[in-house]
Amino acid sequence: MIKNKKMLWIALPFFALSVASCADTDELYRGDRYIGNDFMNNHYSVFDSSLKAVTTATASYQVPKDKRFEGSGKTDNPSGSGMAGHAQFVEKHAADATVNGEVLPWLYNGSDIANFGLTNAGELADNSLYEQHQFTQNKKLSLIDSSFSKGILSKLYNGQMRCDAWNSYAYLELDETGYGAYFPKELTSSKYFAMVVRGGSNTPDGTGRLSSFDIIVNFYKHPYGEAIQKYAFTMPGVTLETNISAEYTILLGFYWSDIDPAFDPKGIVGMSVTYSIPTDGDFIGDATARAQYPTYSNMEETHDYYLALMLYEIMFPDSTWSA
Amino acid sequence: MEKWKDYVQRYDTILAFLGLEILALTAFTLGGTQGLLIFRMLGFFIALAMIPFIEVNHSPKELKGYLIGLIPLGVFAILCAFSSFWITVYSGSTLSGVVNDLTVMLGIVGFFVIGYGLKNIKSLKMDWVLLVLGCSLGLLVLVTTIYSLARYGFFYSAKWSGYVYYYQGAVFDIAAETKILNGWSFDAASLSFGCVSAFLLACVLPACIYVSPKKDLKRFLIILGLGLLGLFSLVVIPYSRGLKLLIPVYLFALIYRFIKVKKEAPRWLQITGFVLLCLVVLGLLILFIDAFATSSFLAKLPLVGRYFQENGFFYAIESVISRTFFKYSGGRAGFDFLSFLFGCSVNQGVIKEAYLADLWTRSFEFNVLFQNGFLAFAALVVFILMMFVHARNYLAQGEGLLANRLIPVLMLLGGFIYFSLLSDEQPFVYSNSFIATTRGSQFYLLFFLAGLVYSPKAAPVAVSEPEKKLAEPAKEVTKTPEQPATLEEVPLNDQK
Repeated sequence: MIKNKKMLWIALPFFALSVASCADTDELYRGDRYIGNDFMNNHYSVFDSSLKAVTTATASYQVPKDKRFEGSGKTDNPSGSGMAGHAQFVEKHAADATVNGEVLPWLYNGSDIANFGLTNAGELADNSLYEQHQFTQNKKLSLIDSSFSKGILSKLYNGQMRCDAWNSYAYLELDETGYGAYFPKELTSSKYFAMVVRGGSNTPDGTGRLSSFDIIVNFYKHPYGEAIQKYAFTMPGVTLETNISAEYTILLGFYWSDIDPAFDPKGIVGMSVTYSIPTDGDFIGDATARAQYPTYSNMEETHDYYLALMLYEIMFPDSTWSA
Repeated sequence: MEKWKDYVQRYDTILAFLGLEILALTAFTLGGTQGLLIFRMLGFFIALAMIPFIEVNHSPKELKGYLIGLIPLGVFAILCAFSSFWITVYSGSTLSGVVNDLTVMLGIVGFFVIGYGLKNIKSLKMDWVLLVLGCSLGLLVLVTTIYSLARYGFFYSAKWSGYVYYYQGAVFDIAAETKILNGWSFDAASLSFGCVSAFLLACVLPACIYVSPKKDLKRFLIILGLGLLGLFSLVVIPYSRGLKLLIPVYLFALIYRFIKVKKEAPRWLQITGFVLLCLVVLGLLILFIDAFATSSFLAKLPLVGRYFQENGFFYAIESVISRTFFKYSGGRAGFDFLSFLFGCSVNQGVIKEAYLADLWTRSFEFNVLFQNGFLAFAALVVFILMMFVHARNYLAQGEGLLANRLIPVLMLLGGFIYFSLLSDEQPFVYSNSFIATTRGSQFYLLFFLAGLVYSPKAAPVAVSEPEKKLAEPAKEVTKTPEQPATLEEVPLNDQK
C-alpha cells in the first residue's frame, strides 16, 4: 500500500507532463514573420507535403469568365473591381446574397471590418455588427464553424477582404508555387466557392500594372481507404492590379452547378492555390517602366522585383462541414 | 447586548456556514461577473445578519468608535459604486447599471463586515475560515493551471517569448496570456489578470515558517501545499513580474518571524510609520503637481525620468490625474469640478473602449481616481493607510495562532502590492471588454480579508461569555496576545 502511494507521488509529475499537450503552441510564428514591412519576409509558401505529393489531378475543370463572377479588368477604375465582382454575383444569384430581406453589400458603411483605419492593426475587431450587414463577414468560414478561427490561415476565413490599414496582417502573399493546406473539417455541402484576391509587387511606387493571372485552385478529397484525390479548377485571365500599394481586391468565384462536367464538392478536405502570369502586365501609367522594372512570380529565384498574389479570403458561403 | 443572546446562540452555525459559503464561491469566481453580482448582494444580506454577533461582543461606545473609524470605507463604497463614470458607462441600460452599482456598494461593505463578523462567531475557528479561503482559491488555481499547462505547456512565456499566433486573422503574443475560468468557460486573458488568484495563494507560503512540522504537521502541510500550488502556478508560466512582487511579501514574513513584536507599537515604529506616511503624502503631492504642470519635470530627472515619459508607469497615472482634474477640448480647458468630485464621464462621442484604453493605468488606486473621483481616491488611500495600522495591531494583539493571523495579512499586503502595480482592466485577449478592478471578485476578497484583519484596539470578546468578558475588559485585552508565546504551534483541532 505504502509502495503504491509512493508510486502515485512519483507518477504525478509525469501525469502533469502528459496533460501538457501544448495545443495553443502548435502554430507559432516569430513576431515579425509574415506581418512585417519586408515584401520578401511576408512571402507565405507552406504547402502541405501530402497535398503537394498529389501531382496528377483526378479531374480538371476550366472556369472561363462566363462561368464565374469576378470584378477584374477595370483598368479605368481599379477601385471598383471588388464591387464589380460582387455586383456580378448579385446579378446572377441575388437570393444567395440576401439575408433577412437585405442584399448584403460589398462594403457596409464604407468598410468590411469594425476597426477600419485604426492604428491597432492586427488587433481582433468585434465584427458582429458587420456579420449582419456585410457580404464577406456574413459568409465567412469562421462564422460557419469556429474551427476556422485558429492559425495563420484564419486570415483567409475571417471576412476581412481589404487591408483596412492592417497591411500584411490581412492577406497571404503567394508566389506562383502557391500554398496548400487541409481544412480543419470536411466539407459536406456547398453551393459555390469564392475568394478575394488582388495582386502585389515590390516595384517602386507608380510602376505597378494590371497583370493577367491564370489562377489554379485545387480541391482535395480523401475517401476512406483511398489515396488523396485532386480536382483542379483553372480560372484563366483574371486581371489584377499589382501596384506596390494596390488596395483594390476582387471577388472571384463560381457555382459548382455551373461546372461542366458536374462536380460534387462533398468530401473536400483541403485546397491549394497556384498561379502563373503569362505576361508582365499592362501598365496603368508609364509603360516604359516594364522594361526598367521587370517582374517575376517565383520568389525562390533571385530577382529584384516580384509580382505576387495577395489572397485575402477563401469562402464556401452557406456551406456545411463535418461534425 | 442581551437582546441578541438567543439570536447568536441559535444562528451562529448557519451564519458561519453562509459566511464561508459566500467566501468560497467568491474566491472560486463561480459564475464569472454575473455570479459575482449575486454574491455581492448575498454577501450584504449575510453581513446584515452577522451584525448582532459584532454588536454582542462590543459596547455601544466601541461600536460608535468603529463606525466613525470606518467612515473612509463607507465613503469609498458609495463613491466606488456611483460616479459620473459608471453612470455614463451604463448609458442605454441605466436600470441594470444602477442595480450593478448598488451591489458594488453593498458588496464592499458586506464583505468587510462578513470578514469581521466571522471573527466574532465563537463556534467558528479561524482555521476553517482560512481553510475555506485557501481551498477555494487553490481549486481555482489548480483548475486553471492544469488547463493552461494543457494548452501552452511548461514555461511557455519564456520559451515562446517573441512568438505570435493567429486567431480570427488577428495576431496575439503567446507569452503575454494565460487561461482563466470565466463563468462557465475558459478564456484567454492577460497574465496580470489571470494570475491574481495564484499570486494571492503564493503569498501564504511563508506562513509555514511559523508552524513547526514536528508539532503540527497537518497545518504545516496545508499551508505549504496551498502556498506551493500558487507559486507553482506562477513558476510554470513563468510569470516573472508576479514572482518579483512576491519578494517584498516573503521578506516581510521572514523579517517578522525573527523580530520580537510587542503588543504596543514601540516608539521607533511609530516614528518610522509617521515618516513613511509623510513620504507617501509628499510623493502623491509631487505626482499631482507634476501632472498639473504642462511639461513634466519628473520626466527630465535622471534614472527615474523614464518612468514618467511616454509608455512609462507614471505617464499613464499623470494622464489620468490630468483628465480627472481638467476639462479637455482639444487641450486643457479649465478645472472640471464634477469630474474632480465624481470621476470622468465617458464621452459619448468617442468609442467607449478606445476612450478607456487611453485612460486606464496599472494602478487600481489611480483607476479609482478617474472612475470614481478624487473623494473616492482619498477615501481609499486613507482606508489603505488605516489598514496598515490595523494589520500591525492584528499581528501583535489578535487572537489565535500567529500563523493564522499572518495569512490574511500576507494576502492583503500581496493583493495591495499586486493591484497597485499590475492592475489590468481590459484583460481579455479576444475582446476589449472592460472589467474594473473594483468590480472583480478578488477585490471583494481583499475587503473580506480587511474585515478579518480589522483590529481596533479592543479585542473581540467571545460570544458565549459576553457578560463575563464585558465585566473584565482589561483582563481580556491582556490575555489574548501571547508574545512571544504566540509563535508556539497549536494543533489544527485545538485552536487558541
